[in-house]
Amino acid sequence: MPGTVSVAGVWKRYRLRERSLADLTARLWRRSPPDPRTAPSVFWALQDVSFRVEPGTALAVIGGNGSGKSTLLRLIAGMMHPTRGAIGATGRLSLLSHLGGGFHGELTGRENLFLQGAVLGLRRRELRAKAGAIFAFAELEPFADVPVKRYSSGMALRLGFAIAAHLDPEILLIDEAFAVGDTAFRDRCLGRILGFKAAGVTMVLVSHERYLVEQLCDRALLLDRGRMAAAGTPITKNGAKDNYVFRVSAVDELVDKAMLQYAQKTFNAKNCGMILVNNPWGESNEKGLTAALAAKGMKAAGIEKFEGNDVDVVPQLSRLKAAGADCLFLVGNVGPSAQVVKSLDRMGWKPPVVSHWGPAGGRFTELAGPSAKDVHFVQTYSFFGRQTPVGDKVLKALMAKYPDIKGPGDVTPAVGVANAYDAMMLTALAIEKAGSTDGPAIREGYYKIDRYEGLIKTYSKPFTPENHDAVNENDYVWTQFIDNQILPVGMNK
Amino acid sequence: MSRAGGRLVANLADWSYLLYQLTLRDLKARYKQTFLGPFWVFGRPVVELVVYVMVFSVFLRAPSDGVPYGLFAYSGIVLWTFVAGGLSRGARSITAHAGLVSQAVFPKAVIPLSALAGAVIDALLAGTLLAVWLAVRGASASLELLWVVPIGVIVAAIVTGLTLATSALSVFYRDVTHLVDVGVRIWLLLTPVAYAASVVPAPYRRWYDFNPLVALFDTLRRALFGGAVPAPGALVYPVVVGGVLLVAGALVFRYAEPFFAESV
Repeated sequence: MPGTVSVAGVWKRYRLRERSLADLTARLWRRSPPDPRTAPSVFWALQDVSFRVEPGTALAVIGGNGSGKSTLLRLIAGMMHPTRGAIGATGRLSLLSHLGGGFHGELTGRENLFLQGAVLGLRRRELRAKAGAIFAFAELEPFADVPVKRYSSGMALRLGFAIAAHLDPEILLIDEAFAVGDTAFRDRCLGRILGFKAAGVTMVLVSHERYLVEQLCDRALLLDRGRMAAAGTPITKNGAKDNYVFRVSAVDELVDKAMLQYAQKTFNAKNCGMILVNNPWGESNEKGLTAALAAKGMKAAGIEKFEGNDVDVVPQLSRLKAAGADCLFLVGNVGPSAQVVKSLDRMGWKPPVVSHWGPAGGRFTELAGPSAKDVHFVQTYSFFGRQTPVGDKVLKALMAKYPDIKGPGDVTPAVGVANAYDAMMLTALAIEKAGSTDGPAIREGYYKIDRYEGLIKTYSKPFTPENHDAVNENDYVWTQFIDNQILPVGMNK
Repeated sequence: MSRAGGRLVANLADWSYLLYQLTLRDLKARYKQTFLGPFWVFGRPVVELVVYVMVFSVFLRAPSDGVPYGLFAYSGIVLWTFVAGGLSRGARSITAHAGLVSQAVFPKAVIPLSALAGAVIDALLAGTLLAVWLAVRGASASLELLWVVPIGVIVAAIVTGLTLATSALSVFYRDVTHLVDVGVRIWLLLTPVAYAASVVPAPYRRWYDFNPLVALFDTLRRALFGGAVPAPGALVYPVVVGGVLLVAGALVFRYAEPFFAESV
């Protein structure tokens, strides 16, 4: 259907360093290439982003600088191609972004109009018909035949906007294009864009201007360092006046605190080292762990990063060992975490390893070998061990409904099931309290939930206007991967 | 969308107006703020001609297959104007249009093709001077002049194939443009532009003929100056080279195109 934008599992990687002869000779002579930590060679601008914009609706993409907003727009526009994933945009597209960038200074405004129009796919006839309106809109009629190099920067931007705004798009992509011209021109731009919206044009808008986002957009997508921030710390603290984001899941910031707490309590750790995957997730946990240590007046023995595809992490681990680390904090997905375990095996070093939930992805025993069980990682729930009545009930219901589930080991991922179960039950309660399915009423309904005996815990006043996170560090369970099953720590003894 | 790929040609037809606009813009921009303006189109080949006459005819007394040396050399210069202009401007065309490449969606092949179109126009304008010269000398319009058309097409195929590859590769490695500049200079010396191929000693001729332009420039002279009738067989080798280069260049370009916007 024209005007639909769909983004499915999109990843985008940028190369940071230019390829040079040095890389080639390094490869030829089998020397190690430049240290990836001092000179990272790639950067993931977007990681696993998915959403869909229906025809005639407007989506705002918000997030800090460098969160991947502009990359996302340029991918939708088709200027770049995703490294992984698929993007579909059906209908005529127009992108309003660093306007005027493609102008040629020696040519006149009119000549540039025809060139730019041709670049955007217009024919001569259409351009002739529109030229008058475009120059009138930009208020540049007297300057149409002056070389663009004699324009002020504001004039060039106005011409750029005017051309892009006269394309009759079915999908309009707007990239902070509003720092354009004086107040009167901005108002005219805004009027034009509201007109597009009224005419049923699909929009994806990147802007820091709250007024515009609220006025124009039906939905918002929050990007945090290239990821959809649903799992990140800030999504429930997004600063929206009416915040509709509630979460029943572990929170990075709290997981980091819990990791330290666990390391101290269980292993009497005094000098912890970090071994983190080199991506935004690793970075965010580096901050979280550093803050958690600082809160207790401690410092990391060392902070080491490794690439997701590294098969040898011995150098990094050796440095941590040399620094006297007596416990390791591990952040990485299943594969990278497994490489850390194998590298530890090769070194014959057996420090306690306290990990984020990365290993829970599956097949950890298979990938990491027998030492996989030495990694203690955080979960919100385990179906093994002594169950509450609710746990028993849910497990029985699951086994009755899905014949493939023969026992607790078949509920994978257990955390996902537990989080979703409690979230759904809490939402049902909120609707019941609200007595309505209206958004604002349900939101108030969440606040009215008093007590709910759930799977992860018995919730008591789980949500308040200040706190939209129902699960906190006291609710985490610590688990080990034993024979490809996630078991609570201590169960195998 | 620029997922052009196999539909390259059909797509380019849709974008012919852009090709026209880009060519026009380059042409205009090249001669704006110059005092002599469009006369540069003639100025450059004529200056080259004067130097060639001095060096090759007066100093070195190079033979020119019985044709007045100036006319002989100028015919070569006209065709070489296209080869050299196309290759050197074509190689840097994508990087020179970084603004367009990174901000708009269109089949990027339009850019090197417009650079080549500019070189064709330069050569055609320089060629009008050649036509006038021939007419003044009283050459009759013979059917053999039509050989100019297939010669032009084959040269265009060779230059287009090379340019598609070099323009795409120079986005990632700027070395390519330097390489092209050096290559063009060497190629000029190894092509019968300023001298006749007949001066090459027989033992070297086998190697010399590996250059597909040798047969093409040779045939051009025969067609223009009514020497021996051009032998179609001589053009088989250049046709094959042109075809291979065109396909290879298009493949390289198609493979590299998705990465232009982020690398340029």
